[in-house]
Amino acid sequence: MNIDGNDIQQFHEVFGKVEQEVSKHIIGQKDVIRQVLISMFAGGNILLEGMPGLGKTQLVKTIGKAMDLGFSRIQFTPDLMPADVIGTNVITRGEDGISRFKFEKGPVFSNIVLADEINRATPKTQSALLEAMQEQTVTVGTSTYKLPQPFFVLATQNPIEMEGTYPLPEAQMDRFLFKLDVGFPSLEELHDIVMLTTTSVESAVEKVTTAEEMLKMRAVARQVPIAKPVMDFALKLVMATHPQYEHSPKITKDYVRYGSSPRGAQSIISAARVRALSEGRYNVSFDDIRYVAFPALRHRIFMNFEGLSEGITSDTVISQIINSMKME
Amino acid sequence: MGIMELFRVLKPLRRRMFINRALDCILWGLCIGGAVGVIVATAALFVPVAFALNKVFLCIGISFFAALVAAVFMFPDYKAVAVQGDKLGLKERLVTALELKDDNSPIARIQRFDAVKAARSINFKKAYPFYVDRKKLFGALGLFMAIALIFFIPSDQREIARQKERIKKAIDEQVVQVKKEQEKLSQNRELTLKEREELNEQLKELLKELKKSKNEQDAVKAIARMQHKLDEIKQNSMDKDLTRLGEMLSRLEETKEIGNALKEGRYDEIREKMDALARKLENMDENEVNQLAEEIEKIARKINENPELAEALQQLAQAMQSGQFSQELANMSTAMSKLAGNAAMHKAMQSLGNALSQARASLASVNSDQLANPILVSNLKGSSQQGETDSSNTGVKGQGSAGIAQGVGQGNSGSDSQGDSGEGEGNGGNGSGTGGSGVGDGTGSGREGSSQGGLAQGNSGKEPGEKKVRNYEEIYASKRIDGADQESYVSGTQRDSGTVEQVQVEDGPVLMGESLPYNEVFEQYRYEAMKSLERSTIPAAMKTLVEEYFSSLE
Repeated sequence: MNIDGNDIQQFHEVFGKVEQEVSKHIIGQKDVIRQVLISMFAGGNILLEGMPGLGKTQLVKTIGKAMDLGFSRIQFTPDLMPADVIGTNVITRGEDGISRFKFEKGPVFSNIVLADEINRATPKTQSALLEAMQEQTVTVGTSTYKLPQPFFVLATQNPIEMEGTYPLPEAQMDRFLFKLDVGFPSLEELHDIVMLTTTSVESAVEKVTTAEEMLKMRAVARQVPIAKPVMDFALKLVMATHPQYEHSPKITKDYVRYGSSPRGAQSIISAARVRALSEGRYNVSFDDIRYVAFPALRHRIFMNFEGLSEGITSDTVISQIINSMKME
Repeated sequence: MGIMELFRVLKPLRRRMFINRALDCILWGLCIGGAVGVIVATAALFVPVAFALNKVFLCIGISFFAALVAAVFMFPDYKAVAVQGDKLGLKERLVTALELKDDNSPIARIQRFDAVKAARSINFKKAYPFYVDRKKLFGALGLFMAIALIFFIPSDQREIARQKERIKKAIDEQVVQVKKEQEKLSQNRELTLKEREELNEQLKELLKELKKSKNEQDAVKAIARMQHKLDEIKQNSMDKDLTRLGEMLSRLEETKEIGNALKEGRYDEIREKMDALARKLENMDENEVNQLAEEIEKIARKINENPELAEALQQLAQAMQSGQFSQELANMSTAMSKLAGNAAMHKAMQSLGNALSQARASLASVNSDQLANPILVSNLKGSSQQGETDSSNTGVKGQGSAGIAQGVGQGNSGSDSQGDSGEGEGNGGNGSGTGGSGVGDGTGSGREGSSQGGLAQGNSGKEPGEKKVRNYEEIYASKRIDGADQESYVSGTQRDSGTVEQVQVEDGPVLMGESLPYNEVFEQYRYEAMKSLERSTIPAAMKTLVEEYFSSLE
């Protein structure tokens, strides 16, 4: 893909337009919107966690429309089977009267797949998404099918009502670039949400970019330079999530069972590049790393028993790690 | 837009960083210097530190200049400037641009452009002002004040240190003097190159030792060693035959003056003395002349190791017998002068010797000042002895210090208390004696300032030269060793309360004696001892004992 100076300079503009368009239809949640966009431009999957009714599904739908991307939604339930997600071979009779197996694509074959309440499906069904999320392919029998590009999985999960749910295994969690906490809107935001959704006026979402343009922007984002001190900072940050690392802060050593995998570092760097461009900068800064560290690492840090019992969150750990590090 | 443009934009920041770093570095230097100064000043309270204040200033000065020099080398490179610039809100634009300086890809070019644009938008004057670290500044000021306060704390050690300073100054002055002598020597064209080199070598050695001297004793020893070496050179340079001839000639009445001149090295007077001899010979009768000629012939035979001189003497003797001695006396004079060697060398050595004597006297006077201070007397190493000698059989108690000497004599019985010289001797001090019928005999010598402060010498006091020859230990050599001094007789009868007599002696101790390496005075002591053996009624066995004693010392 040929990238020139214009493409680079346009990134900020396009990103801003998408953000602006989505913000028109999603009240509040500015940080969530931005982080979802960063993750999408970085080519990653997103796990959205929040109470029901906070607009998670609406957010994903709106982004899909603004970017002119295909959108499909899968409501995960305990009886959902992998074939319901990825598709299955069905017997069809051809014009010549001979019956053949034909692969019927599942809802995963879309640009944006919303896996709603992903933790309600069984691990078997959850893991059906693993290949799609990582390799962006689907294998049924002996055939492997490429998923349409760009492809993103945006999964949601409910932090309450844990009864009858199947928490995502670490391997699957690691496949999400970001885990975002969707918070409750403020009073003003709530007012706007109510006003917007209870009137008869329906505002259409404007398409501000295309799939192709988005792929180009992804390529641009990969070229953003990162200075060695900044890169070192990111890598040390990931290392510091491990209790075995000698320079880890006390909180890590005391409360963390497992730290981030190398995917965590990859996620930070990819996302930081997009964040830099979204700010109109052409290099990654310490601020970018700090900004993306929370969503990129919070689902990759697993607390030990003491941590869980004392209510230490991974965000607290990340925050203390960042504070303990010098930026040189 | 190239990287040079970025460097140009960053220049003001670079200059500011340099100034701030230099200021910081200088403050560090002052703090370190101040801290070392405090340590030195505190140490000076407990141990004598000579030139403590100078050393404190030196520490601060060195630290300051080291900091200045370091600051010059602390001119920041562009990487440091970029890091600093990024901290001013440029969000790692500069560091990244610097890393991409050789990259010409579109993203690198755009990034550089962005970095330059962002750097231009910053007012470095406001964003990065000149900065003086107040903590360090007040720290340095506090340390300086602490130093000043410490120097106000009274301490005995400071007095000792001051004395050391005086000694050091005196040594330094002598070093300067020796250098001057060296200079004079190098300009002395009367000396041959070899002689100059020989003397110069000795002076260099002396300079080295003087510089190494840690106290006045070392310095005095070094000077004494130099004097000794000069004597050796002098001795070697003189013709031994001439000395021997002088010895022999001095035994004859007619040639005594010539002999003495030869012995004492007054070669320039020889011709004059010869002329006088010639005049004397003319007035002598023939028998006397012949007798003298025979004596001279005998002498000529005795010094046959030197044929030239022997022949000249032989010819002189023959000429005297024939009555034609004027010419031969002249020849004799020429031969002697020739053999006498280089008078300039002797002159130079004489000059050096004088300079060295002055140096030693100067150092000794410093030490006498030191002894005037009782604290120093009790503290200074190497000069802290107080001598006190009590002699029961002579009833002598001599005690001296600080230039005051007291001789107290007390006879305990008529015959036993006989003292042979009975002298209370102390320069610039008091000699007092209390006694019955006996005569007190004491020599309390106020020291002129050497290693034995307040040494009292009684008859049974320290004998000179107690196995110190090899070390050339300095001893006090009184100029009144032969006893030619004021005498004090104490009158009274046995067992009465006696009288007290105080005698104010005329001069200070410095002028009445001096400290000399033992080997220099040994001969004199031996000579005096032998002389007194001859005139005293001492048993033969005891005489042998004394002679053996001196022989063993040799």
